[in-house]
Amino acid sequence: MKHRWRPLVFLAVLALLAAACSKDEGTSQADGQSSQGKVTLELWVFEGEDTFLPNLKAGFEAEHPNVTVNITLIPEESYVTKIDTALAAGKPPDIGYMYEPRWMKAGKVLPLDDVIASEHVDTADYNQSAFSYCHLDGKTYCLGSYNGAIMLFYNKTMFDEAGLPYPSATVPMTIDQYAATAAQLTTRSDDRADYVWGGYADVTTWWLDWRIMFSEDGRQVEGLLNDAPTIHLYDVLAKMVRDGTSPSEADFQFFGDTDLLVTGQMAMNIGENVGTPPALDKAGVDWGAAPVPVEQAGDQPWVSSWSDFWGAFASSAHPQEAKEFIAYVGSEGNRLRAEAGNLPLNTKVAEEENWVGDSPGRAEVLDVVKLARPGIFLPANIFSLDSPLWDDFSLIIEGDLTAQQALDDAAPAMQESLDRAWESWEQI
Amino acid sequence: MAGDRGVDVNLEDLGAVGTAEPPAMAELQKTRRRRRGRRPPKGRIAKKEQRAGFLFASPWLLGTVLFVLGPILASVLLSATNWNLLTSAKWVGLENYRDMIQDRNFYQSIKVTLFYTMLAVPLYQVAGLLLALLLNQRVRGMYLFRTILFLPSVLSGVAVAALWVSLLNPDLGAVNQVLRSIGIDDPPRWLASPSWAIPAVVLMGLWGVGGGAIIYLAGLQNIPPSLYAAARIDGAGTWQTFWQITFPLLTPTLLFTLLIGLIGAFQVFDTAFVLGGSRGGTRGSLLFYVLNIWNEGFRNGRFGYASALAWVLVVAAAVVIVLIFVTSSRWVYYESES
Repeated sequence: MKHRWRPLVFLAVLALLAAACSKDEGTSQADGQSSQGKVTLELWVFEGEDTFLPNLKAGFEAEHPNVTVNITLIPEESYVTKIDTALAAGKPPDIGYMYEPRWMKAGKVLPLDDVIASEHVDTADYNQSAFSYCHLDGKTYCLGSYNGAIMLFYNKTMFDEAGLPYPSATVPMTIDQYAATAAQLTTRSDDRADYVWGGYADVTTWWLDWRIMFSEDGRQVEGLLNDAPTIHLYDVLAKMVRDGTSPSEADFQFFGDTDLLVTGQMAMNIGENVGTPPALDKAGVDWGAAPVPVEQAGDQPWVSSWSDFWGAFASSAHPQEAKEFIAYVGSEGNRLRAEAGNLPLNTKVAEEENWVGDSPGRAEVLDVVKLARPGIFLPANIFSLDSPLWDDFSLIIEGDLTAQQALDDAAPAMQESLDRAWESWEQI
Repeated sequence: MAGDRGVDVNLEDLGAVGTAEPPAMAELQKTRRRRRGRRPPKGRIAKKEQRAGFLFASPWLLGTVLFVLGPILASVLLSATNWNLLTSAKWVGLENYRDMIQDRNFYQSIKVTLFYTMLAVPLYQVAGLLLALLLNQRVRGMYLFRTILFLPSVLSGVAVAALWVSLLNPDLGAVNQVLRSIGIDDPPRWLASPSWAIPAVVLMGLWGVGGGAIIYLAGLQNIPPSLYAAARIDGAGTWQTFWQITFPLLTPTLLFTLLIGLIGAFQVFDTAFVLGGSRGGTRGSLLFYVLNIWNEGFRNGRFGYASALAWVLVVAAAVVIVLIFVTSSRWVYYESES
């Protein structure tokens, strides 16, 4: 008799194993349907948001007494891998940062258009360069709270001493004007500690409009990366390093993590607006901000921007609450950012909350951020595409290659990577 | 007399000895075959013991099936699909393998890996052997020397690589500062130079050569001292002793270290990642094959293509290893063969 139970026991074990291994995708509720009773929203966020996150959690929970927000801190460098793995296992958090557009393309993220309308989230004054990242195929998948932007910071005292006018906060210099200004601001010395570099030169993918090297549809590199204006741009930038008007890689390595603009060893630097202004204020530097230089006269100003792109994963068991939370981030979260001293993504909120205060530098930062315009879409992280450019820039500086040779060499390699990225994108 | 599990057979009874099988021998073979083919009847205790055996082994068996064989088989299937983790895998047959023909990173990674292998494996073999010969001397404090020389090989590869990044810094690194101080005004840019990056990695690897030396040392100490004594009596010099005794008797150890060295060279990842980043150093000069697999899978989200690349490596490594094994009979000397 006892043998009869064996198949049943075996089947039960199999069923348990199958249940344990299966994706839990059937628990999600229909869009727009609010959960009954107590709800816990799982958030996976980066470390280092010690002021903003507790306020955000407290504020949202106060408005939604049935919701508890559970925050899990994930190191930034492993964030994408963890989300990818969780998505593959069917167990992502309810809410996370939308750092990979492929999650949106694969239908793993909920569109937010309905909640943006119902919660009256005003996105008209968002930094449009950053916000363009949240759009795909006419839908909006994420909202943000802070405004990260790349701009040119400069030391006003050094400009005064050199008798040079301050860079405009609304009209960018051309690369030639920038290089000439940097040369005038440079004070040479045999001792690195006494050297003052006038400017900063580097590969442009992280600070300049991608349109100088990619076509508007993001599919073409060859012929644009190695066209005459871009060759000239790289020629000028490499010459700045060679001539000692910009620090070299060795100089940066020598000084380690030191911000040379803060220590008064650079007159102009291209950097981000989150950490630089507080550091300059703390050091007592009289500083200003301007848009980064452009390739040639007549080019529109460019402000590379980003935010904390919050989105809700489609497998969330509480989609309505998750979307409401993101709407809260996109509206009230911007005010909380301003209270925490960060520039909010919504520039109107920055003005209403008097983020500028009595700082002329902050006023210029806000002016620069208002110049931001949507970028072009690329199907892959730029840093997975531009490695040939980094290599070749070093070789131009070393004099091993001319800018023409280097960009002619980098263009087909980048085109191949780009083609592959598009192929992968279209397979999603 | 020859015995076989209770069957005693007198060889003299087997009839004529020749090339044809004698009738008595044929009968014996049949008996053996019958015995082998027929399993002894299993009692309840034997069955229980068998079940218990499987039960005790089951965690390991289950682990092997789920976490070793399963993924291996899955990667074979994956190599014939397009899969990005987010959407279900799409069957593409041999397309991933065909794509390699057009992929410049594939060729670059092969070039880098082969260059490194050809440079590093022989160098580490020779350096390890020379070091072992030194460590085999009867010198006071030898245990201390052995410990010191072995120490670097127990350090983490990542930590060692991070240390060498600063030592080999072209402008500020200690290596170039020493070279400049001895009059070399324009020393190599090491990891920043496409042509010097691999030699730099090989040079770094010498740091851990003590690990290989310990294996050679074990081999050296297994050589019977009586052979050296006999050679000395016969008037053999140091050089002759090395080539006629030491080297032949070390060839099994050499075969082992060669295989381990080759497999290690095919699998370079952590050092390359730390030294050149995931992009594979300046102009792909450190784009080792396994790093390229990682890039395709985890950076480009092409897990099918990455699996196909992995299988090409497995097959290539298997071919090389089989070739070495096949040819080893010509150059590996086992003492028992004498």
